[in-house]
Amino acid sequence: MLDAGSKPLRQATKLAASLARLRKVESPVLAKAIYGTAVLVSTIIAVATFATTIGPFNIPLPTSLTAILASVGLADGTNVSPAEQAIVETVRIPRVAMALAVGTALATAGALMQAIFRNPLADPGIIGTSAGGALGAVVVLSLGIGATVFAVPIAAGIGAAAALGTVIAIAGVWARFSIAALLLTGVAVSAFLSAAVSAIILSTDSVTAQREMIFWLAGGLEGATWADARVVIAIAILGVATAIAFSRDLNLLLIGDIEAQTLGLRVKRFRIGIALLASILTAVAVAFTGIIAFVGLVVPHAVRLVVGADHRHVVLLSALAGGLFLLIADTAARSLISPGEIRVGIITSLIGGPLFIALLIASRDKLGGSE
Amino acid sequence: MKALTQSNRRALALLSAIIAVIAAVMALAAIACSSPEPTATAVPTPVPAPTATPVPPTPTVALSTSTPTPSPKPEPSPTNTPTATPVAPTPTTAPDTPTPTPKPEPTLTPSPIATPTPRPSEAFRGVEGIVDPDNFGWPRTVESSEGSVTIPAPPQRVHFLSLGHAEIGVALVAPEKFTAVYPFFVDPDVSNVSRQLANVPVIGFEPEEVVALAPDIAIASQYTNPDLVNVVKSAGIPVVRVSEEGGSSGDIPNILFMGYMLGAEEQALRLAAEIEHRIRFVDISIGPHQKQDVGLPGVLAISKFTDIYAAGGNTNLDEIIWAAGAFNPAKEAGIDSFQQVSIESIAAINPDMIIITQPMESGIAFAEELRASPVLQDVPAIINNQVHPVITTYFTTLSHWNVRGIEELANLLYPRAFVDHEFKDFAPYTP
Repeated sequence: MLDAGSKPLRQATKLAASLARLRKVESPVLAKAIYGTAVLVSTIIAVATFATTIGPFNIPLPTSLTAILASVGLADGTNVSPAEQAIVETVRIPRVAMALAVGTALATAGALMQAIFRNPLADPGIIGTSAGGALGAVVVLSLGIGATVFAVPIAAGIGAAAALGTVIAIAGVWARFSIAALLLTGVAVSAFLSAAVSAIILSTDSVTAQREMIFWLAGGLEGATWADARVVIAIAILGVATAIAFSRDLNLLLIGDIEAQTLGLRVKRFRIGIALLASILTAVAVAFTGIIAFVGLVVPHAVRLVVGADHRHVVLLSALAGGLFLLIADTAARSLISPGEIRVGIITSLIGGPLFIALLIASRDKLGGSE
Repeated sequence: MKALTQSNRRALALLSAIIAVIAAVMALAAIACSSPEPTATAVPTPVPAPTATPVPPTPTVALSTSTPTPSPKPEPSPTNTPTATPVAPTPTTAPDTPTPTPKPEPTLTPSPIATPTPRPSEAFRGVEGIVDPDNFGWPRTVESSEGSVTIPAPPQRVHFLSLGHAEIGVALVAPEKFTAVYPFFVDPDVSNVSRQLANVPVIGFEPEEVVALAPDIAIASQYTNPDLVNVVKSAGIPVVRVSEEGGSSGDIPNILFMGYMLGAEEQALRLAAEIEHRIRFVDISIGPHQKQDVGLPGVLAISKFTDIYAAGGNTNLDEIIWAAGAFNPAKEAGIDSFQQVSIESIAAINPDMIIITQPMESGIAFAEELRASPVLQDVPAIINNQVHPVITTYFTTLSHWNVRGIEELANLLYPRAFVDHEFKDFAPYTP
């Protein structure tokens, strides 16, 4: 017999109120999401085309466009020199594709982490995947086998997976995968792995190896090839699709673990699965480009500030916005002091920081900062 | 009131956005304008801001003046300045292509060391930091940015805090006088004197370790951490900061200064004379081979440690390239100091020759990568097979060993000028 003050009834009432709130705001938010998707997709196409036509090597715009079309078999490219075609096809397009894929992977991972931990400070590296990837790469570089094909990405991927496995194992034994357990274990494992990375760098006698490690850790998209980009693109697409498929369940987490469980979600298993998905997305990005900060933290936040917290929209829009954000940052990184380049991490922070602060101020009401 | 609040809010947001954009632009401008401050393990290789014009050889060998004052040598204006679009390479721009030109005789006979030695007081007069250039007895006093130091007797235990100074030190004093060295001093990928210092104890980077060595004198460079210097000084160890330079000047004033403070005037004079002689020999030898009608060849110095870095203006490599009879197209393209570049940037820079300044094994792999790149197939350096991994230590440490880099590069550019000449490394200390 349920009485008016019973716990299940209180939970059901709270849940009904939450769902009603979601329904109430759904229409305008959906419109915003559709509009946002259209804007982002068209902007990505425009920026990607623009990014492919600029670079230190001066290729006239019509020639660049012909080369782009020729690279996908839509033009014969007879008026494009072999060098110009090679620059567009093997340097610029793979780099643009890599920027989009890595940005997408990192931003999606950030959106997932922030959802499952219900923590605005969660980012793709919070449960040790970035540090694990860094350790794997640094170990390979310290052994002097960094030049071996895919050695660094494979080692970084293994390192990220090992770090995630460690976090999950410890958090599971310690506190049955509670949010606090995962977060605190992740922080501890990250700190430990980062210290190990520093120790390896400092104890490496070879200055050459030290340089390689430092450059790798700084992160960057230069030197991206189609072989690399294909791997990241495939995993990013699969990851985003999977995340979108689980976006309704992510919404359930917003209203609390108990409420989500009441609605049939196996919360702990789901949380581990999503953490695993986010870690794979992070690991693949870290493995090929090093650590690029800021994208996974800021982009999902910015998207939430614009379209709200519904993950059916947040995941897709974060993925698109993340790709666009990193593409713009990388285009700036390779154009501002051309023919020199700036580390893309510097640009992501320089663009992302002020942009994010402006968004925060503009959205003060939503964040509860108004009187 | 509410409208006013919203208006204020919007204004605040707008103002913040504007401030943020201005901050971002200023930060970018700062990045664009600043050059990285090198450290001992800096990435890329530490390079000071050298003088823009390399020291030209003078007609006399003897060190008749105190500080070598470079007489302005008009920089040859390259006629093959790189253009953004690739220029079809002409055989004439290829470095020293074999044409049936009679081999010119250098007017200076290559001999390892110049002989005439001036009176010490003449050579050392005017060297910055020497308080009394007529005093060659002990005690003697020197001055640097760390203050005045009186050295009571010839130092028997010397601690060098920078690799460039250690390389000079190897030519001035016996290795037994080195208190200890740092790991990279004995790394053959980085140091020109790893072999000579192989038996010297190796220490870490803790200031305490330097203090424990109790050297008679410690020699720091302009890049040495001030905190480290302060700790060492506070322990009563005299510290002298000596400028660390590379490039074509070969560091001569600093060599003389160090020779004076270490009681190795004769070795310093000998080394300075050898440097001047070697630079002049290269200059005289390549002169007849330079093709004035097509301008100098453009040499791009790059390295790849995960990413590609190019040496632009204000680097010792830029000076080395000039002194070897070429110009630096990276500098012409606007690159200052060491900057990250892409493979596309190399195509845009369009060099006649590429030298790869990194350890040989990875340098060879990088050279193969460049040769195979479809992006670079129109670049003269690729077409004419002028991509050369070089002995990196000749080019990257900041010491007189850069002169070896000048010789090696000149030999690559103008091989016929040095057909009968074998370049040798600098000899270590001899009494």
